[in-house]
Amino acid sequence: MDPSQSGTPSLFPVMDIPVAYPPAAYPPCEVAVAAAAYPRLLYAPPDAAAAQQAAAAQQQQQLLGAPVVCPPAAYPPGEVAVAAAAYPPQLYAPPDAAAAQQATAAQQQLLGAPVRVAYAPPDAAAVQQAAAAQKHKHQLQMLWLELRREIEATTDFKKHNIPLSRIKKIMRADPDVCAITAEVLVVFPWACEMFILELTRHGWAHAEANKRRMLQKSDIVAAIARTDVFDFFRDTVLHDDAKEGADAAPAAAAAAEKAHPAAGAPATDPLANYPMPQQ
Amino acid sequence: MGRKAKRCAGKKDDGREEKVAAAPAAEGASSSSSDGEGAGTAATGLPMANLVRLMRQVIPKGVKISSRAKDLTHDCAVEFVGFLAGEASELARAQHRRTISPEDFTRSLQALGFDDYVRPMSTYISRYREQATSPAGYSGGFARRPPPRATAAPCVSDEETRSRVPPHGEHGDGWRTSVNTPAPGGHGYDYTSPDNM
Repeated sequence: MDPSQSGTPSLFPVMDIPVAYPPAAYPPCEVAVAAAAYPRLLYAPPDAAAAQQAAAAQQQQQLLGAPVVCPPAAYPPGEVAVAAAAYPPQLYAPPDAAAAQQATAAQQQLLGAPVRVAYAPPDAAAVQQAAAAQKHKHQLQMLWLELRREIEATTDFKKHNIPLSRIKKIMRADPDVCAITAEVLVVFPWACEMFILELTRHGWAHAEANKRRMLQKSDIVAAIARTDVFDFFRDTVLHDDAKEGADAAPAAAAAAEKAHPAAGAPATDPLANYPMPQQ
Repeated sequence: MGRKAKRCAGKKDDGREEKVAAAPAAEGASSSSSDGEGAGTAATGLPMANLVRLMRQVIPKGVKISSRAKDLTHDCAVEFVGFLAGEASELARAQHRRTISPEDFTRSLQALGFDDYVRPMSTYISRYREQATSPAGYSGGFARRPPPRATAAPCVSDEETRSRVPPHGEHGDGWRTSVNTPAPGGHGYDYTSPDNM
């Protein structure tokens, strides 16, 4: 009795819900079918075929409803036409001639630079000269470094490779030279030494280029001619050349040249000093 | 015996130097006339032994140097010293000073294009100043070299002047260098010039 009593009130609200919908969507026969279906649910499992049919019917209703409702609300014909028209211009727009030319020019520029670099023929002689110049410059820098270390390591400031008395006499020879302080006087021998080293190094570079093992006057002259810093020595060189021109005995000069290397070969200080008084 | 003879030769050279110092004008004329002679070059220039030794420092061992190359290098070195001194003098005069200062020297090197020389020279000048400032530097002194700073006692300076420089040389020095410029009779070796301060 209890289950039957509880079953009765549940049937009543179910009966009310389908009553509200029939006038718009469901015909009376369908309502009867729905009403008949529920008791079966309560008293026996529903038929599989009937359930499938119901699901299919619902799906059909949903599918039929969407196209009918969407177009009027979301996509008016005009807008659709505008949207459709927008695509063709983008897809079919031909590129601009100016843009094409710019792109071509850019490509040419990108391709042109490496082509010029790649096609520059390297000159063997120039490469060798550049290498020799770099080597010479490197050696000169090493020389300056060693000399700087020597100067920094100097503890006796009264010992010079070139005597100060000679420097003083050279300065006295020029009446225009002003008085000089002790600090500057002690620095002149070092400057003179650096100059002699640099000039000799440049001259030796020239002799080495000509593959000779003897440093000659022509090497010093070439060094002076090649180095811009030594411009003010060209007068001295010309003067010496004039004196050489005045000499009428080239044989005697050659003999002197031959004799002096022999004297210079020992490279001893006393021997080098000894010929001075005789001259 | 040979060594003694060579030393005598050196002394004779010193005598010639003294004569040169004694008569600057005449020596100038004679030096200009005898520019091509070795004796003149030796008297007015640099010692060849030192020059050759320096030249051999930068060339490989066993390489020979012709006598003409030595002479030309010597002439260039002498002209270099004169050129530097002239340029420094011009710079000093431009600033209305009669004494060449280390700054004038470095500026003259830069003006002539010897920029590589400026840094070593500046280093040496600064270290020389430090040595001159320290009192120990004054104790060690050779008879041939003037002391690094002035002496307080005039009598000592007078004695040093007499022992080191002859009368004619003293006058010559006074005219050219700052040794006697401030006070010819009193402070013979006052190397600190007031213009520098």
